[in-house]
Amino acid sequence: MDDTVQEVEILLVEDNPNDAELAIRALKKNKLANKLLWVKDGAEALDFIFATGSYSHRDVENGPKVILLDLRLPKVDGMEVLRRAKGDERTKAIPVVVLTSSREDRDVVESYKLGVNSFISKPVEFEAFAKIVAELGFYWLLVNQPPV
Amino acid sequence: MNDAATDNEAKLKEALAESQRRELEFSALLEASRTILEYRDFPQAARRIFDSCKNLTGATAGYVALLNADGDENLVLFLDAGGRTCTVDPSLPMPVRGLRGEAYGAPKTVYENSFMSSPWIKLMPGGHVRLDNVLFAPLLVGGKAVGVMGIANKPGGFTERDAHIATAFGDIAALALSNNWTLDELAKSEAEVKKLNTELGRHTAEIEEANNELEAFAYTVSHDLRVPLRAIDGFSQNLLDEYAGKLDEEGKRLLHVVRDNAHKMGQLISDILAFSRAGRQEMSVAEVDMKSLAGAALDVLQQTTVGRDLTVDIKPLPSARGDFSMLQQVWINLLVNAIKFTRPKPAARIEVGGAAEEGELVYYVKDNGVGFNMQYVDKLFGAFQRLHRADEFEGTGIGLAIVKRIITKHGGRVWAEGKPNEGATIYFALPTKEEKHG
Repeated sequence: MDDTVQEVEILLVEDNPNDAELAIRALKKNKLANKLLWVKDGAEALDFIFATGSYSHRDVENGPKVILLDLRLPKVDGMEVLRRAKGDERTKAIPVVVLTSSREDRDVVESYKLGVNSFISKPVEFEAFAKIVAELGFYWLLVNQPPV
Repeated sequence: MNDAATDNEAKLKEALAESQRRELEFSALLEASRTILEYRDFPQAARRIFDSCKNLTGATAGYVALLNADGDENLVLFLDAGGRTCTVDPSLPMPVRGLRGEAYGAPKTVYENSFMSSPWIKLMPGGHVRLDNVLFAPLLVGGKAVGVMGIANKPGGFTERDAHIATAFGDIAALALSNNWTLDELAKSEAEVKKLNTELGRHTAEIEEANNELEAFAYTVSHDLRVPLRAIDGFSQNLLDEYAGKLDEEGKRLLHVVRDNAHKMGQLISDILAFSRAGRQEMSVAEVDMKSLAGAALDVLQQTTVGRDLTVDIKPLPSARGDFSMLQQVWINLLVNAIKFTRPKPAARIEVGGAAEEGELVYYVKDNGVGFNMQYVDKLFGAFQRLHRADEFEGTGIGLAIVKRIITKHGGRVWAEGKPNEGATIYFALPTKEEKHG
């Protein structure tokens, strides 16, 4: 429990359980879901990232390799999570990929202004969705060189 | 001989005096005419015309009156008693009767020099100005007497010449009145037009707002529909993947039907969103090379024509002013259709052309495909209207609707011609002038 939380490679922030399940399945299929943590709202995401609340035993410096972030979240919305994560010296190096249903230009622009690493619109077709998630996982966990 | 000379001298003097009198009358009439344009207020104009007439004829009193709405009473605009007293109550009705009535009735200019011994004296109210003689000249508008100018108390009495003069002044006064009425009508019309324009502006704003709301609604709803659709597609795929072993052929077929329909629904939603976007997007207008744009659109569709005997002839096209990506969408949609509907033909021929024609640039895409019945031409550009069965040709029927939307936004128009089994030609025209809607 403790060390699983410490070794989270992918933080999935998604409130829709269907979308979450599909994403996790796609990652599992490609053996990328071993160290994945799924949180269902923005508040819990912030607790995890900043090691507060129920995640206060975490080490902030030991962040995930990538955060997959939906924008439409209850309690604290995705944009706020993005703003906080990118606004703190300790966490701003963590790659954040917005994976969202929204395709609104203003969301895209705002996200990039806040420093998002990648903005992906969730496709309707599962095939395409699964492919993208798998590629994301593959890229950020295996291909990309993390800061340290 | 002396008598003849004296006679001639007298005649000459008389001729000269007459010439001078004529000149006086002339300039008085000209001056009176000028008042028509100088005075917007009729009573003021009438006063000046009356004064001129009074002075010229030698009368010393008078008035100008107009007929009331019912046509049976006079409304006095002003009264000049000429120094004599008049104690008639001004609020007393002044019916159309007596000599004045004759002026109205004929209508013609009338006068009476022995007023005190005339039958008209009985009709005079007590306290009225003492009248030695009186002349009435009607004001005629449209052949009808709508008012009267009366002059009175000329030393020596009125003459026929005075009557002619007064008639001329009466005509000028009538002209001033008529002009006045016309200007009043004009002002009223202008006010009416202004009011209607304001209402129109308000209605237009209301309609625009309703349209915007509708489009935003279509966008939001379509968008939100994608989320559960993804779940249907994804979970049915997972079911197929992981339980294929436990399903017989029929089970798999049922699942495929579910998935097919989920895909169709996804396509429909995409089309609704595309259609909605076509209306909402901001346009960035620039010079567009239509020939290379059409060529680029064809390149994009190259893969769909592999293995087919298909010739596309893109003729020289005049460049247009419009939004690049929107016009690209137009070419793509039109070519997609041409390519699709020529599929059943062994040798497909598509022609793209355009020319400048009377204030617009007319482009067309012509194909020798399955064509359509002109009876249904009105449905061609309707959203989600299809003229072919689903098993004949795929598609949701949104392509031409999007074309129409985009071209309309550019201030242009679309139309089409077709013949079953012989082919179809889709035309669109863009205005050449700078003014554009959107």
